[in-house]
Parts: sequence; structure tokens; C-alpha cells
Amino acid sequence: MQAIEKLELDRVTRRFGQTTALHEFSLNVPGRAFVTLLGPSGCGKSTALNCLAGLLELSSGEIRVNGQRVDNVSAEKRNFGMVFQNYALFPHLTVYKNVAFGLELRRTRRDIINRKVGEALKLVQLNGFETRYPWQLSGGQQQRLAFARAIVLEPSLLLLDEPLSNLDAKLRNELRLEIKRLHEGLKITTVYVTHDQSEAMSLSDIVIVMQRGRIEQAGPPQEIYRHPASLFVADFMGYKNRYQAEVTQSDSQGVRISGAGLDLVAEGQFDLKPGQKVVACFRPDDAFVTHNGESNAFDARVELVEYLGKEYEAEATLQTGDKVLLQLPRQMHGGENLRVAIPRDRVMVYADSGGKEL
Amino acid sequence: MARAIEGPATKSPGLLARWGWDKLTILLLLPALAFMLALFIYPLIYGIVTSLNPKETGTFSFDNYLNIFKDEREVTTIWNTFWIALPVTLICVILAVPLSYWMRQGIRFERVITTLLILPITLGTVLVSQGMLSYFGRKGWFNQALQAVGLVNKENPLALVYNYFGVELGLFIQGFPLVFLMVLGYMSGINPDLEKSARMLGANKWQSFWRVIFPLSVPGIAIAFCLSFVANFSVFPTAVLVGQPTGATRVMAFAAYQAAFEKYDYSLGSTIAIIMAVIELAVIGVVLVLRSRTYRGSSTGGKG
Repeated sequence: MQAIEKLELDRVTRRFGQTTALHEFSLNVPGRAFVTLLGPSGCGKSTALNCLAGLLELSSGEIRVNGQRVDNVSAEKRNFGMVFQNYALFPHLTVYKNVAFGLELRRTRRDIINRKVGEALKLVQLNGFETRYPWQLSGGQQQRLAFARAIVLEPSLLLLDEPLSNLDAKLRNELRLEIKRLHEGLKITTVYVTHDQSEAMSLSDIVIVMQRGRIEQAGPPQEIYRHPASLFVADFMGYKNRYQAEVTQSDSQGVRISGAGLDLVAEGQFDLKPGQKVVACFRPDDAFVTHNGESNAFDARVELVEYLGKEYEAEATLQTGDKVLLQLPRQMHGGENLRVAIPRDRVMVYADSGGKEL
Repeated sequence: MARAIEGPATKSPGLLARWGWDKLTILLLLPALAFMLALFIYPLIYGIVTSLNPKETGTFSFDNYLNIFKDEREVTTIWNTFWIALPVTLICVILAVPLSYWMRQGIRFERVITTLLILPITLGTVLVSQGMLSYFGRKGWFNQALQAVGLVNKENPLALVYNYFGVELGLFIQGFPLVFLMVLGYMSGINPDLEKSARMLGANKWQSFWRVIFPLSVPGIAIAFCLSFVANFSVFPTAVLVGQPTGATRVMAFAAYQAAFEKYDYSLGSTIAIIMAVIELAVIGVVLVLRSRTYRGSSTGGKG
């Protein structure tokens, strides 16, 4: 199969009756990339994936592979592989028959089928399970079988629809690594859909954060993580401390904001004017406890402490009574006071739209 | 039972206790058991006993059973009944499967279609038969319409009722909705992602039907077939009202009725009824054995 050098979605739109699930969705994916569509339920990420798969028709727009239109090609002829959230394994077929399904449809020679099925099962460590039925497998094994069934056909594009969401936390981490390993090995262009920020960060070359059928931000995971383009993305990336504030100073280096008793400097390019109402936010793990008279610091009082293994997470209150989430390097107790500093480049500031974005 | 738990393990617990039945379970089962005994078990045993005591002798013998299989008319009746029940059941199933496949994920006007299909059941056999007589009769609208467009000779209208065809048609109108609704219910329970995943693996509509949806529907189709066959095999009103009960559509239920209420030979009537039941059970048995060779587990797929 011809490998994908370039996958383009050009203003892909999909409407269901009155509602627009996907609005002029445009995306360029280089070959062999791992792209993740990230967003809450109902953001259009699954719609985008189903449009790519050919399982949903487009209301308008085009999808091109290596410059050739594929949106008018039916799903079964696109040679894209897909792994479904519930795996969608054929319950009446054995593990072997599940993997051989697509090859048999292509009238592949029996000895080639045997070899390819064997290889695919070996790749997902399911060799020896050929005669079992899907319901005789554990959740993780079912998931790996779904993978084997998709990759045995050497698809030009692999579509993964929240494949880890039905698994428990430990298995999820293991299989996440496995997906990474498979992608590094096979180099199949992959589009992955998830609502889990950590999956998106760890797997992707490109993350597309979506909201209400539109792209909110697209870029490498590091960029999205460190510089969320909007309050919505920041919220999704765990910028849990959020305060209404006002810009007091503004220049090309950054802005100074004041609100909730905080007086902070945020470095970076902001298109904000003094006096403007803003929302400032930062991640709990970016703040650190300090004893020096550092700038960008504030006082807080510990209320609740949670032990997370490596560190402690605390809910504390500012002098104004506002809540602040912090990470502590050592155990502290309710009632203790501490001084916290936040690096200037870790404070994100967004124009306040009255909370409409969230 | 309490003693069995507390006391030394010298006495093993009772059989019921070992099956996990306690007093409450048995008490709760009593009404249902009484119901079964009074309305099913007792009449069944009564029927068997009656059939084994022929009217002429009044003593225990298998004469009735032997005589029926020697009597050419009764043997013909058994084949008649088969010949009426089997084709219409098969036709119902064969039509219900593609229609269910088409409607499995809901279509426009589904409610209207379903209502139209259920209507004949709610009207009852007699009313539908009456309707058929006037609609499909020699001077009925159906023939008149065909004559009007010249498809049928004026002097020689189609004989659609009072014969074998009439019974098949009547049974179809009555039986198809049930078969269809059963198959539809089963098929719409199949996880739609299975079909999508078949498509992603390269299967066209036809292939995904034959390789995925149909095999997963077989258990539901088999049950629908069995229930429909039993209903059609024990047909009585339709065979009498729109059929030819003295000839081609003399079915076993009619033969049993004649024996019991025209000849007042309850013993012979019971015999025919028992033979009917045995044949029905045999057919169900065959279907279920065939079904057990196919996949029988969940059709939802995966853990989702």
C-alpha cells in the first residue's frame, strides 16, 4: 500500500440536522505523524474521525491523501484501519478469524493469510490465542486484538477512537506505551481521538484541541502544554488556578496583572491593554514554595493536603479567601502559612470573555 | 437446613438446599407451580391418558396412535399441516431478515410501518379472515382491480380464498408482523460498531451482512422461526375460514376438532393433539440443535 506523505482535511464540515458537529475543520498531517484530536465529549473529535474513516459523509469540504481526493471513496475502499472504543471485535469469530477477516475479504492466499495473521498476533503478543473467542480475552487483550486486526491489512492511515478509555488506569498506561512502540515500529500515519490530556501529550507529534466542532489550538504537545492559546485549552491542560484580574501594566515583554490579592508579572506576547479585564491562570506544579523575597510571589495558608506519592498536593487559600492549588515538596498541615512563587513565564493571561469560553 | 449449617457435618444438607433453594424460594415458587400444574401439567397428562384409552374399548392401548398412522386420510392431514406451516414460516423469516436489516437502525416512517404491521395482530384472526374474503374474493377489490387493468380475465378471476393459497396468505398476514418484530428486536441489539468495523476492514454491505450481521442474528431468527412454526402448525380458524377444511387445508387442529366435537371421540381428538405437540417439539428440537452449532454468545461485542 502506498504510504501517506500528506493528509489534508480542507474545511471539512459535518452537520446533523440543525447542529454543526464539525465546522470547517482544516488540518494538514505529514506522513507517519501521530496526530491527536483532543477535547471534551461533543467537541466533534469523533465526528472528524468518522468523516476521515468514511463512515460519515461530509456536508462540505474535502479530504485529500497525497493530493488525491478520498472523501468520495467509500469506507471499505480507503484502506484505512480503525480501532473502536469498544473494540468492535466479531464475537462469533475466533482471534485468528478476527484478524484474518480483512485478508479473507481480499481473497489473499491461505498461506499468506496464515503468515500475516501470525505476524500481527505476535506483534501484539497474542500468539497462542488463535482459537480463543474475544469474550475469552481480558480487556487489554481485546484491545490488542483490535489493533492486530487493523494493522494486519497494512493500512495507509490508522484511526484510533478512544481505544484506551475502557481500561483501568494501570493497563491504560501499559497500552499507551505499546501504542507508542507500535507507531515507532510501523510508522503508520495515525489519528488518535481522546479526551485524556495525558494520552495526547505522551503519544502525539501534533495535538489538535477541539471545542464545539472547531479547532481551538493545534501544535506540538509541548507548545500546547506550555502555551495554551485560550482559556479553554488552558483549562484542559490543567491550569487549575484561575483568577479574575486587571491589567495594570503592559509592554512588549509581558503584562502585570492584579486581582484576587495577587500582583503577578506574566512574560510573553499578550495583546492586552492596561485596565483590561483578564483571567490569569497557572498550573499547581509550576508554583513553588520559597523563603526568599522572590518576585511574583504571594502568601497562602494550607487547608487540605493530599499525598500523591512523589509529592503532596495542597488546597490553600489566598489572603482574599480565594482558593489556590499547589504542589508541596514535603508534608504540611492545615493552618500552616507559606510563601509561593510562580515563574513569570508560567502565568497565562487571557482576555476575560465573561466565562463564555468554558 | 439451619441444623445442617450449625451441627456436625454428619448429615449432608438436603437436595434442595444443595441446589441453593431455601424455604422462601420454594414458597415464592408455589403459586407459579400451582398455576403450571393446574393449567399445563394436569391437562397434558389428562390428554395423554385420554388418548391411551380409546373410545371403543375404554381400556389402555396404543390403538388410537396405530390407527391414525394406518388411516390414509389422517396421514394426509399431517402432511397437509406441514405443507401449510412450513412454507409460510419460511417466507415470513426470509422476508423478515432483510427488512429487519434495513430497518435495524431506525428509518423514517418506522412508527407508521410498525403500526401497520401490528394492526392485523390486534384485529384478530376472524376479522382479518372476513376482510380477506371480501377483498381477495372472486368479486373482491383485488380481482376487480386486476381485471380493470386487464391482468386477469373477466370470466375467470383468481381463486385466492377458500383454498391453500388463502390459508398461506392469512397466516402470512397474521404471522409476519410477529416474526419481523422478533428479528428486528434481535438485530437492532447488535452493536452497530461491528458493521462499521467490518466496513473498515474492507467489507461491502453484502459481505458485512453475510459475515457479521447474519451469523450474529441466527439465534434470534431461530427463535422467531420456532414460535412462528408452532403457531402455524396449530392453525385452526384461518384454515377453516379462508381455506378448504374438508380438503387441501384439512389441518391437524381441524381433525382433532372433528374427532372430539363431531364424532365425540375425545380419545382420538387427544391423540391427534398429542401427535401435533410431538411434531412441534421435534421441529423445535431440530432447529435448536442446528442453532447450537452456531455462535450463541453476546452480540454486543467487546466490553462497551
